Amino acid sequence: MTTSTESTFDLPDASKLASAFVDLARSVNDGKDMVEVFSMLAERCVTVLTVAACGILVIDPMGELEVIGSSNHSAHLLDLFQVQNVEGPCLQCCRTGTAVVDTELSANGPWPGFATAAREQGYVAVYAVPLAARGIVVGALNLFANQPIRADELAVAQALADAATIALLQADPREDEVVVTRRLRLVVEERNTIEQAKGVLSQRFSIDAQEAFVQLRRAGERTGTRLIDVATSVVNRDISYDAARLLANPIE
Amino acid sequence: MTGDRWRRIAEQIEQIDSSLPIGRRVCVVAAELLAANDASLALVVNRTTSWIEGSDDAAVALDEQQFSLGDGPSFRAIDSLSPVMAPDMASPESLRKWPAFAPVAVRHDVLAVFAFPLRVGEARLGVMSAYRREPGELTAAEYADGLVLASLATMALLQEQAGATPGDLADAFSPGITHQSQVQLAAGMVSEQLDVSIIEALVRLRAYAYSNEQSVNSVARSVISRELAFYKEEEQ
Repeated sequence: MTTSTESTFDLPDASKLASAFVDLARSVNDGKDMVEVFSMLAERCVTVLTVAACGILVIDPMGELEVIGSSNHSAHLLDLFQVQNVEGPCLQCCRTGTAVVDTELSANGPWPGFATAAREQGYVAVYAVPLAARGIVVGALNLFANQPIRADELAVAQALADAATIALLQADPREDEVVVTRRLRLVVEERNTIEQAKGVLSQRFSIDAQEAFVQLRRAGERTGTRLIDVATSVVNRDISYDAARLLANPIE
Repeated sequence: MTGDRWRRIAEQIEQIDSSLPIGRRVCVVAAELLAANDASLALVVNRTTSWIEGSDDAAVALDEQQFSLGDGPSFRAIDSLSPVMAPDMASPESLRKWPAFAPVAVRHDVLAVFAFPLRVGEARLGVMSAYRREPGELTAAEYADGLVLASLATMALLQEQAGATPGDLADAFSPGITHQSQVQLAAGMVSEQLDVSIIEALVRLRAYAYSNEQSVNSVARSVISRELAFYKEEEQ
């Protein structure tokens, strides 16, 4: 038992943690697309760590921070990621390549706009952990907490971030700059396609973005189709795909 | 941060004679930054070019060759997710990969071709190509410049289709202002509302933003919150 006011992070969570790594490794080996791997990772972070929300941002070749996986698809959370293109812990983390911890979220701190927006959403602590490979920082894992997390949880977050980076780059053993740049661009375009497909379904079924993402996933699971292929067929209304035909109506 | 790269290239395009069409300006900068002799942009619909702009006539002719032959790195790049690099057109490998186009390229003294798809998610607009008379790979910096140029070209083409004036380009080219994922989500909604392609939906969002003097981001936000919907004309 911990006597501190910080969150508890007890041993049983180790099994959740192990399963998070196993799921991640399996999804990569199964050839799942990157957005799916990162979405899964973001969701697992919320299960394994005592954080309320998690998002994975990469720096695309244009220099913009792009969300490629999120535990939650709410517009408020996306805004919190987006505002970090201007200021915030993620930007600093990407610039310095070291983890950033902010348990103050002060309006007089280094990122007043971000801190205020995060507080408005009920968060009291924010963490950014670098995604880096061979000295190239490609993005950061962002954690939003309703209470400060422990140092060992941050270490777990770093291990998950390392796993995510390996996932991002695993498809090509040559981790040179061109390969990293190409992979980053690709993952952002996959994300764009999935957003477009979420939009189509959210209009078609009058549902929100989060529910639309669930629909895409279900269609993928029912038909054994990769998420990115489901999304592509939905955007192109390509009914030669079972998944696109299935999504003519909501999947229960 | 590499946002500097975006800013630098956007400024370079803006500095080119603004009386030239935007496509031409992008091509001129592309040829310079990728150390190419010629560069081109091709808009492609159903595997057929609908429009080609080049830094010069040679670039346009090389694009036309690829699309009439249905072969070559640029032709391949339209369906490709990633750029297609052909650093030595005279090599046996290139002849195997591009049996129809490689001999034509070599005959025109084009020994390297680099093709970057113009796309946003599933909105596939076409391809940007750079042609060199010397063989050799792009450097990492040139490759990154190529990606940024392709992205800027994609934005410029969407803006142009939406009826924007060249003066609005500076706005479009600002880094860090696009809530990219929300714009794409809204475009998906509009494409379903109007039963149009995702490209058309992206153009309609931009056109609405211009005529109402709003940012694309705020239009996207209104669509997502369902304060704004697009309707087919006969339904209005």
